[in-house]
Amino acid sequence: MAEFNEKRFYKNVKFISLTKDGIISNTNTSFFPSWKKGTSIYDAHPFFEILKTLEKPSNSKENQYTFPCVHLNQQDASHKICDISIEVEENEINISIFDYTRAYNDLNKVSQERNESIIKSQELAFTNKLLLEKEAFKNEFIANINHEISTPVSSIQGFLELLEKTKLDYEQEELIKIIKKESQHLKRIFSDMLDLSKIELGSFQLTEENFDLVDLLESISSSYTHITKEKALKFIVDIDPKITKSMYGDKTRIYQIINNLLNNSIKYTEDGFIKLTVKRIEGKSNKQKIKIEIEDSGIGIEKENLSSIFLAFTQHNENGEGSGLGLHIVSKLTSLMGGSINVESTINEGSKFTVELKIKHEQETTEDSSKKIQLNKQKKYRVIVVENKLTTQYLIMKLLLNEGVFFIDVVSTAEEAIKAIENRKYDLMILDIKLPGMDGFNLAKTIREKYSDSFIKELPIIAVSALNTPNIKNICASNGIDSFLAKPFTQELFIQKIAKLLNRRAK
Amino acid sequence: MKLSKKITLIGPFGVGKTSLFRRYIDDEFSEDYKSTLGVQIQKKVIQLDNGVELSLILWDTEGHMEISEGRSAYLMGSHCFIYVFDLTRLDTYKNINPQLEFLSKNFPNIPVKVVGNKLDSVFKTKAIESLKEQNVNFDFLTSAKTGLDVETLFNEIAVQLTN
Repeated sequence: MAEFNEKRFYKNVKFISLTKDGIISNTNTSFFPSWKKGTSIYDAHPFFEILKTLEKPSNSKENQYTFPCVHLNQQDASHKICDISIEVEENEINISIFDYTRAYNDLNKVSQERNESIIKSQELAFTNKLLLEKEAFKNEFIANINHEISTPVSSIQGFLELLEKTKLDYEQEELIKIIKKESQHLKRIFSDMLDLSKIELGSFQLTEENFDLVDLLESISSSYTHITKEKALKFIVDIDPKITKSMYGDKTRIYQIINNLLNNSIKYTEDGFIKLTVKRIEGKSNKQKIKIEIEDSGIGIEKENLSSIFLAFTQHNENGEGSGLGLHIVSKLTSLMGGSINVESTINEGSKFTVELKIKHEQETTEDSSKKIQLNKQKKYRVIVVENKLTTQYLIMKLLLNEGVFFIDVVSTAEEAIKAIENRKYDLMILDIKLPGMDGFNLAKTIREKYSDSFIKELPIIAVSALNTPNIKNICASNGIDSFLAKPFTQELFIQKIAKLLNRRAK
Repeated sequence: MKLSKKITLIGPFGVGKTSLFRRYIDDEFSEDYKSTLGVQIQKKVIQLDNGVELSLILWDTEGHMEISEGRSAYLMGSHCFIYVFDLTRLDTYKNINPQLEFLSKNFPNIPVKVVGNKLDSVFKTKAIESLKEQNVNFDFLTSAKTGLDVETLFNEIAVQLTN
């Protein structure tokens, strides 16, 4: 009977009785045959070291310990997954080992699949978090570096404008043209990088306003007639007379799209022509669809490169100058405007870029923003410039003095500015944001909140800064700054902004 | 003098407990993930400078996001816990402090080593930044793949347990 039980019922169970020293005093032969009577349990498997830590029973009820799902592997490579029950008696330890290897292995398949899928999703979530952090760091870096570079570029361009108006000989004029061209190129590269970081960050916003599309196209045509002449290229312009003039949209970005495409074509065309065609392909009561084609007789693009031509930092010829961002930005801007872009090209024959955009018709507004505002030349204005950089102080002073209508006081800190406005009446404050000590935002806030004298409290403030972050205008407005001008700027834009503020105060 | 000490590896699944265990015991590593079911136990005997021959009984337990979800019998009789988390998975360490509190409450005198594994897959400075953000105090950052600091971890435990 004992033999029958051993074979039938206990083939998956091993019973072991131990002396208090861990010597096997009795066992059956179901499995692990090397665990024989007279051998030490501590030599059987390291699991049994646990016996040394199990307390002797203080009462008869708490002398049983169960260890489920223990892997018991042997030197002969046999391996079982067992539940182990241990009963600690006064002079003896009884162990029951239940072999559930098959059941546990089946269970493990399920847990393996479940764990793998959870691990994968957690890894992806973490990778995604890191990528977002990396992207944010990159965008912040670009915005900061752009700020650091905009300030000196702004000064260079401003002084060049002033220098151009002095008496120069022919050679000096030519040298200035070169410096101007190169600084504009530098400005364009950084402006492209900043645009791209804003687009990638999702903070890029189109600025819609009424504009004259035909004027815009004619202005482009006039600039590029001059630029193409320098490379002895023929510039052909074909503008559909059916195009509606008065439109509503982001004219700066439409200009940028055409501009970048023309620059790209000129870059890769050594002889022949550049052709700009603008057609109205659909007209509705509230909008028109236009097709802009820029065609060249340049080097063309390999067929296999056509799909990557709109990716960032891609240049289809290694001799190409520039940042490699121009076409990428065109594609992003076109998409932001709900339009499309295509390219066809044949090697050594040329390329044709086609952009289709839907542009709304002119909207009714109370003010014509495109109208130029004149300074009252009969009047004199007192302006306080709060700027700590000497070159920028000098540039702003020169730009203002050229107008002949300004008295100017210059201070380097917000604290000096407060003293000045308390002692003298000003018509306008030109304020830098980054100042030593109190910054421009806090100075503006102090002026708006601390003073009851309306001449101080309502002093028009224009912030001039290279700190061109996506929400800078909102931050300026929330601190009481009336207008913001990003560096680098042109003399014309600078004076326009000032004139607008001064005229508003005069009303 | 001969001593025997039980060290239990615990922590969420897939963090590399078995890989650390295999790297230390057999100096082996496998890229394939194979989930541990239950517990596997191995012994490693080391000779310490202080003359002690120490048998480290390593219990490599199945992973759980929370210790209380696991089998409490595996924790019984431990002389040291190694709580392992995965540096590439925030979910394995963002709630680590309640787990450590669970251990200090239920096993008040048992030392715990907190180990961030898979250092080979992350930038160390970024990983430390993330651990600081989550208020995680760690003892070791290891790589079972390269073996970085695995031996050091167990040696430090061995010395601590025999002093």
